[in-house]
Amino acid sequence: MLGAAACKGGGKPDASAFHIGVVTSLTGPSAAFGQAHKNGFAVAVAELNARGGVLGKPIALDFYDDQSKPDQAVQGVAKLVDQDHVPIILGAYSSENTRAIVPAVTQKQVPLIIPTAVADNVMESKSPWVFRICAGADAYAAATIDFLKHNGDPKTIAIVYENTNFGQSNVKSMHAAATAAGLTIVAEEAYQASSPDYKAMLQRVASANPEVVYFASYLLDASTLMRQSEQVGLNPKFVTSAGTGFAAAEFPTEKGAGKFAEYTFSISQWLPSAKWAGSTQFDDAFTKLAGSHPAYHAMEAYASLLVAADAINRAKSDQPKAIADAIRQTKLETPFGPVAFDDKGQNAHPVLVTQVQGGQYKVVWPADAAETPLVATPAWADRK
Amino acid sequence: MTVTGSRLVIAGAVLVACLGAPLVIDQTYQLNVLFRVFLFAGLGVAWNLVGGYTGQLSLGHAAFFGLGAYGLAIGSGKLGLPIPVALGLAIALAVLVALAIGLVAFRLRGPYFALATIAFAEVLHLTAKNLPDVTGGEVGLQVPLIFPPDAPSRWFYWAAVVLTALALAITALITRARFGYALLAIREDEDTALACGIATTRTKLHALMISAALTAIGGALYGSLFLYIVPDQMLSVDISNEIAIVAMLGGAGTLLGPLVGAVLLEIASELFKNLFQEAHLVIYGVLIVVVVLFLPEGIVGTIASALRRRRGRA
Amino acid sequence: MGVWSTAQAVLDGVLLGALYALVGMGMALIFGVMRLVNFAHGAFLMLAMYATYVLFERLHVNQYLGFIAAAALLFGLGVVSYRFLLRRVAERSDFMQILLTLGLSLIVTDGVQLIFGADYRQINFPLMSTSWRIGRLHFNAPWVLSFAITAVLAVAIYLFVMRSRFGRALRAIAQNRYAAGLVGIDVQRTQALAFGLGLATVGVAGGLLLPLFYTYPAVGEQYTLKAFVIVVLGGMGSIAGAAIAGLVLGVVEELTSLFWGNQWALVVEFAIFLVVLSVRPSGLFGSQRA
Repeated sequence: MLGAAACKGGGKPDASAFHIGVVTSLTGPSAAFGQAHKNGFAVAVAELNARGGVLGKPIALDFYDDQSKPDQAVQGVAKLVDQDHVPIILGAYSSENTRAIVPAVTQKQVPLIIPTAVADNVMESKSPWVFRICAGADAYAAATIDFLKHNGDPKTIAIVYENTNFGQSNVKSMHAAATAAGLTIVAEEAYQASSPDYKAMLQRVASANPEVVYFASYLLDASTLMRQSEQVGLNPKFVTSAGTGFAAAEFPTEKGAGKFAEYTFSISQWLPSAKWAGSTQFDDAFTKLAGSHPAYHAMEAYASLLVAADAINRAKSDQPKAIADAIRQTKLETPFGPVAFDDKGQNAHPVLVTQVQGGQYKVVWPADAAETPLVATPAWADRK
Repeated sequence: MTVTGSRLVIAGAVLVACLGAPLVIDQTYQLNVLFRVFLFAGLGVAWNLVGGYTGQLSLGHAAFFGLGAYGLAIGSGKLGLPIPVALGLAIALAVLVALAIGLVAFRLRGPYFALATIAFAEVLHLTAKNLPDVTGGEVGLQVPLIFPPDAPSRWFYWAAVVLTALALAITALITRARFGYALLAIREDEDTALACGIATTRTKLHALMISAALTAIGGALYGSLFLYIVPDQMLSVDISNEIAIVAMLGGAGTLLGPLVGAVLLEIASELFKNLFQEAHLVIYGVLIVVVVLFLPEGIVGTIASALRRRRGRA
Repeated sequence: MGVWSTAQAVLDGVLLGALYALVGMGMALIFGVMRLVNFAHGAFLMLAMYATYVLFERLHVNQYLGFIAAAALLFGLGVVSYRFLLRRVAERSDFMQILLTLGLSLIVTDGVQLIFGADYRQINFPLMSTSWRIGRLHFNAPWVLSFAITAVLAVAIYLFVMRSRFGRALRAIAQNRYAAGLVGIDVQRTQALAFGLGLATVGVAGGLLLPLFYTYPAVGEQYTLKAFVIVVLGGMGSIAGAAIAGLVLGVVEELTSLFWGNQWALVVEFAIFLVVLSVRPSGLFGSQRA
């Protein structure tokens, strides 16, 4: 009885379309990013289907809402593979949920393209079925340290992170990278993002008097952290960050931290102004659909579907094995940059360091990609 | 054949049918859904010993659930113990924590007890998040696979069915024994029970410890199926609530209530998710509200009362 | 940490704690009168934040007036949900009441996400960046303003419950529902109004929290647990106790963040809660009637 009921729930695989599975967080605490995924995918579906879809069929996405819970994400993989018979899965959003589904796709022998999970433990299983589009926490830390070494070579750093897999992974990477580069870590502070007041935590950081602060924070905490940094007088020479909240489109605007965002540095994987062809078109299409500019999470979702479609077309097959082999051979120019996977399944995506200057993100590092030189961070009292 | 005898035969037949299900159903997905059904049925039955029969509303069973999984993962991973030993350790740990929780919380009554259990579970949850060296924090911890690696879903399904059967058997035995009457007496009126010479605190403690042991087994199974655990998943308020909801909705203090509740809620939740996308939690909430309004003693409880009334009239 | 840092943390704790106090007072009102543990408390707080948000963004209602409408909305919702839902389970076990509020909480939380999406939402207004300094102490204008309004309203609610005829009826029911009915108090009506008033109080807190924070559908979850802690510390059902407990909680949180680390603040909170429960179940400030 359940079998029949569950079948009905899943719907009969519709043979007129090519089905691709997506596991993401449509509800729960990560839902804002899951919705960004959904919109990013929608732009890609419209674009690809206008070009004829894959293998002569339009693409249809089968979403499974993991409710921002890892166990539900695992359930989603089973459902998408067993019921919907999808030959490839994209997702999940968060590092926790992605880490949880890696064993499941490996066991099911279905390729997984990871759009957004930054924690490096999602790749540690070395599964041949797992591919990641975005750069990971180690790359974030390495790029930040490289940038600092060439721009004033500061000696002390404090790390502030949200108490999640994303935050804890980034602190681990930064701890290792900073130690190796000879920086002294003067403070490591975790926080719960649910608290509206971070001033006491920021005071602890300020009292350690670091030259650099590295934030690994989610969306709107970034605004609150910067506003309250001013209030407690936390004024390091470099405010750096692992992207996400500090790289969100709203962050430097009045909807985010506004003037308090000025001079902050962030890792970014992509910006609407990125040099890769198609970036502006994606920005326009996304803005039309969602009513706001895309952050790189949406772009990563979009790019992961482009990569999937490209691989399916090259494989000329709807079989998981053939598609996985084709993904491994990927050499695709996308608005997210060139995509190619190394033998561990990682795309060598270049990581940029940006600085907020006049309410805009400007790329300041690496030197060959820099749009403008960096501006030194003035004291709070000296800002307008 | 006696009434008990024929009931045993029926129970045995149902058990065999449940155990045979994987011969017909071989999809991981469906087996995983069924695993969840029986897992939460087993957890609900275990919860019922404390919540239903003794009337102590625990909303902190995630503590035992999480300890089961973390005990197994840390015991076999970090300490290198064989899996059965690690599992035994996990259960012992949960029982010990149950003792500690009980010693504090059983001095309280009604909503105070419920709130104390929530607080205990939250302290464990947040501490697990904050001690990455021990628990892996939110980066997570690997859990060993406790069953053969080929077709593990089937093994987990069987294990969940056995857990439910075990919990039901323990409950059935207890309710027929002196211990069970003591529990009911406490639920009806704790002061009178005490006056009648029942060692109320000790009785409640024993019920909680049995419940915790079964819940820890469930948590270990769950963690091992997913191979990877994080505190936000294993120790969250959501787990505590789900266990209690399954049992209360099915009928607190009835033998089969939690089983019925788990079948209804777990399958409904999976169907709703596929049918209603983002709206599924609204529908799920409406389902809960409707059951509460129209089936005041839970599904099985209300039906049993109706049957009893009809029999009384006849 | 220096004296100034500590003083700043205490000050911030009081500003934050005042909002917690309102959240707790709402729960205390409901619990005291109805013996109902409201698991939808945080969901209703979130609803008030969205109401204030919509008023500000769409209708350009001042961010410090929106809470009035939010409170009115929640009052209405409270009375309606009492009449049609809670009253029907009032005579049943705690279990069914808790289940009902859990169900409500799911409906409200996911309903809001369906309407508004899951995006984080924040309002912006010029005052946000205004701050004053006294010595090395720092006062952020929106926090001070929210505190001032909170303090006035908390006192008003307290006086209302302690002095008004309606408040006396509330307290009579809290002491003995049956006797209250016998002396001519309309128990059903009073309880409906009490539930409405409890939600209105948490609505005010939501409306005043929005200018300081941001909102998203799951934002309320933590406040339900916090409200439990406050109500127990304050002595179940004691309005004044809840107010003081809220302030204490705010200060404890800030001091823990300052001296130990932000991620331990909630652990300390729950630990204090458990210690108080086991040593003095009637709460720190309650009378012995548990």
